[in-house]
Amino acid sequence: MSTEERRIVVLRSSDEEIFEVDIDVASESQTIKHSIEDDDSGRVIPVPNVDGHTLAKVIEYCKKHVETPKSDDRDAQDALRAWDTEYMKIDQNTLFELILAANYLNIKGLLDLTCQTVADMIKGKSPEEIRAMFNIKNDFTPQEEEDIRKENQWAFE
Amino acid sequence: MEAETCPQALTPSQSNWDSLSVDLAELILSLLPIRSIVRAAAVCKLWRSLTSSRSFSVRVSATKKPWFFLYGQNNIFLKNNQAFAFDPEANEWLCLPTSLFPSSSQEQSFIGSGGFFITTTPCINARFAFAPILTHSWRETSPLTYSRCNPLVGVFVDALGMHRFIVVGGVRFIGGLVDIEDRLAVEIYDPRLDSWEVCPPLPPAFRTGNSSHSLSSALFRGNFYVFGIYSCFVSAFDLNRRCWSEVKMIRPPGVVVSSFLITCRDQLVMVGLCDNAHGGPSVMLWWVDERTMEFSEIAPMPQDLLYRLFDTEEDDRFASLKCVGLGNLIYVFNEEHHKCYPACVCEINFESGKCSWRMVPPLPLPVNSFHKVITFCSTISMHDILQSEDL
Repeated sequence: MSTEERRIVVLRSSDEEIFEVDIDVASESQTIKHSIEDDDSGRVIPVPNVDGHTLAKVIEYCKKHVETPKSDDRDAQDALRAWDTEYMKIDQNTLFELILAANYLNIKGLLDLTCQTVADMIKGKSPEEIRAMFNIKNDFTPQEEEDIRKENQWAFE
Repeated sequence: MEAETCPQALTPSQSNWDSLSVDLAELILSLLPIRSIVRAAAVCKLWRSLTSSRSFSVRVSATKKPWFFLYGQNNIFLKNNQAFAFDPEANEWLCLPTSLFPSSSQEQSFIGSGGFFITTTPCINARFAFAPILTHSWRETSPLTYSRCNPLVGVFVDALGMHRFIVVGGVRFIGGLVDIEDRLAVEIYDPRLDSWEVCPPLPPAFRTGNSSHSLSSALFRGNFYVFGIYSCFVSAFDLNRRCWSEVKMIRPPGVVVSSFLITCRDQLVMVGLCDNAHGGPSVMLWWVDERTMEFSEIAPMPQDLLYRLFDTEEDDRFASLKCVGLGNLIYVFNEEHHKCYPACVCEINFESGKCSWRMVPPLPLPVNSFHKVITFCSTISMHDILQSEDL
């Protein structure tokens, strides 16, 4: 296998979309990295848990973070953070899928970023607001809810 | 940063967030500031069980910054007592309801340390009561051997993993007058026997100032350090060997008016108010080597922040400067009422040795006038806060 050929990896999403990705970019995913190490015959690597739309978004993240040289420079760090913030301007469903993908593909930076984004959505909100936002059913009885509030009054004021 | 500007907050969810794995849900919830975690625990039973598990509590304790507590005592009108807590992560103050504290009396000393609120009442039976911070679970121990006002109290974990209280110094009143002759013994509580072990008292060097008014304490590496705020004497009580070290003095050059000893993770830090001849008062931070008591400068507090805490440059104004800290945070504040107890916080970056200072937001009004302001830093146990026998 020539060096030229080894630089590209082919990924196939759950909905059969094909992505040709630089090996360094793909290796941001520990899962894919181990896949390549185990079998580098150049076949297509299936990514069954992730659809094309999400996988494209994942690749966008990996590409940017591989291309950006690691630097102690404050401005460079700020610029990357700003890029991450823009990148995170996605709808809730994409965010949800991205968390699952980052977890399955084992991409720490992306998992941290997406989870922090969700945490930021939850911060400062009341339980009712949180339930509404995430479509979560309230399975407490009114009495249980009242007890919970009384237990830690300071948190609900 | 603000949740309101997150686009995700605006679109209704079609995703099945309920189906998120326990690990992922735990990861997300652990990133929240403590108050938000408590609110999240009220969202649904799953989230409550996730956040009240011991493993979650341990995980969160490792990452959450200790809180800064301010307890204001009014000696005439007890109902004017107030308690506040500052979460440096959320950068917000919380008003703590008075129901969290036992009904107070004039003689009661209140303090907090190591995850506990503690009250000592010197009256006849030397009461000592404690509760994990922010819980209603107050318990009273058997009485202290020697009753006292305003002792120093520390909390340490012994070799068997049990929380132990250590009570040092304090002042005894006999016939309405302060008893300066008797050096009060150190007492260490054994929760298994519900008894207090009597140990050697503070060394005589501390005789003139042995209450929490003039002493600063720091629990560090198996020792309970006691440091004279005005005297600069320091001695360490070895928690294993139950004895005091030789009394030393830590007095850096430059006239130091008052200084405080603080445990910052794995370093001892001294914060001192210096009176420089032409420069006016300044606050300096030093690393202290716990074995040699040698000190080295870290950085001064920015002068403009210091002057924001105090009205004028008159020397006696700065006498109300106090300092507490824990982890990588140090709080410098003014315990005078007229500016509503303003405070600054310094965050130390241990890798770079750099300090970044900022003003703490003002206390939420109304803030009463207090005869005494008690402040301390402490971590909080998520597990204790979310424990409930009812649910």
